[in-house]
Amino acid sequence: MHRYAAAIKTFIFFAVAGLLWAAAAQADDFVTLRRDAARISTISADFVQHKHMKILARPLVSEGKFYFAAPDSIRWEYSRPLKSIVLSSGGNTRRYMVSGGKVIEDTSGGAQAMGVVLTEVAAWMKGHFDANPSFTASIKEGADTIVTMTPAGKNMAGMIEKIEITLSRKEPSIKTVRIVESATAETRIDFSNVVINRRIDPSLFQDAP
Amino acid sequence: MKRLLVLTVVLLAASCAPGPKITPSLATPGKTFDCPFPYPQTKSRFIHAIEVRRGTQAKTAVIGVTLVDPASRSISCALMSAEGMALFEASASPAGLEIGRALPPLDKEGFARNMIDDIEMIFLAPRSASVQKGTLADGAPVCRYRTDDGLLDTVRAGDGTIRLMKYTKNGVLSRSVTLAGGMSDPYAAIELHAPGVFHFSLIMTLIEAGRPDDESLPQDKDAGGVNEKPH
Repeated sequence: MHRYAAAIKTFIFFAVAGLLWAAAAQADDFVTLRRDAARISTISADFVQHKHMKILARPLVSEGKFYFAAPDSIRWEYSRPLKSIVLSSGGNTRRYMVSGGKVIEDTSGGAQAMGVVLTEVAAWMKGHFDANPSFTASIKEGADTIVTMTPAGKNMAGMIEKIEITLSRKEPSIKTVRIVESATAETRIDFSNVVINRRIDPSLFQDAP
Repeated sequence: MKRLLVLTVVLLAASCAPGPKITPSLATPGKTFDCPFPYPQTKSRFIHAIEVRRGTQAKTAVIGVTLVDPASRSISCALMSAEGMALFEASASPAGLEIGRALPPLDKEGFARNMIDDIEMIFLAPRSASVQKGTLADGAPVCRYRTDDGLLDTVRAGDGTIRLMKYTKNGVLSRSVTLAGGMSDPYAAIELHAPGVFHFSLIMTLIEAGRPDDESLPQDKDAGGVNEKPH
């Protein structure tokens, strides 16, 4: 369960961290990044996820919406092909699925793992991105800013090779989060319609759907 | 005490029955039929949304990818979370089973073997060329195959669905599969039920089907492959 939790944590963390970095896209270092991220109160965005695996002839495409409200509220919602909603707020995390046309709570162990995950993600929201001991972070400036995260320990061995987050320097929007699991498997999440610091109805973090 | 003994003998006898009784088709002249054959006849890929239930209660949902090659009887499969995290990857051929990835709790002993066996039951034709045809008590035509593990019944139900019933050598039902789309679209909706102490059900809804490239499946040059359609 620990490795599963760690893996899911990594996925969600980098999606969230990527959005926060996007909001502070002009940052040249992690100190500036941390300071700028602290100014963010809400984020909402659409995302399209492309899953590449050797077993898939072409990427499996998923779509959904993401919401964040400081200090620790998250809604991570997939609309297709598999409907799923993760809500986390105030240290309470729930995962929902659709069964027989109804939204019901996922009561598997994976949902419990997600609770552990998002509690940690919320802690990272404070901007300590480079303080994660599991990864070594570097920033490369160019036409776009590319943040590369490489596992520092053995915990992610065989699960994650690296994560690349590409940020636009022209506007406060993220381009891509690319999570490379192996030579034949990776996940790419493209964000669009990123909105920063606009009020989000608190009920979005309490109720599904 | 005597009653208890009799009851025990009766229960044991019932539990060792070799599957439900069928009336051989030879006994009913003029009622010949082709065995249900929903299985893909070329390499195929299926992506399903899979709802996992214990009893009637849905517990979780994952995405499942299945690749099958009927000629070599090779299988590749993967399970991933809605978030795209690969939870499990394995491939199997007559040469053996290879687990590429298994995150807890899917790393438990026997999980991979059972999953591959279930996929084989659903997507690959029975290995045995010997089939007994007949009818069940409700009149449904059934084809019975003897397998290494026991029996496999393929039934064309009156409502048009196809049912696959797997029995152990002791005659105990171990898996029951319903292909709700019948012969026209057999893998559009699949329900697998596993009775017993750890009973569970998988409700599978097709997301996508297609033909894979050759590199996606394990290679097994020695595999002969039995894939003849029984008539």
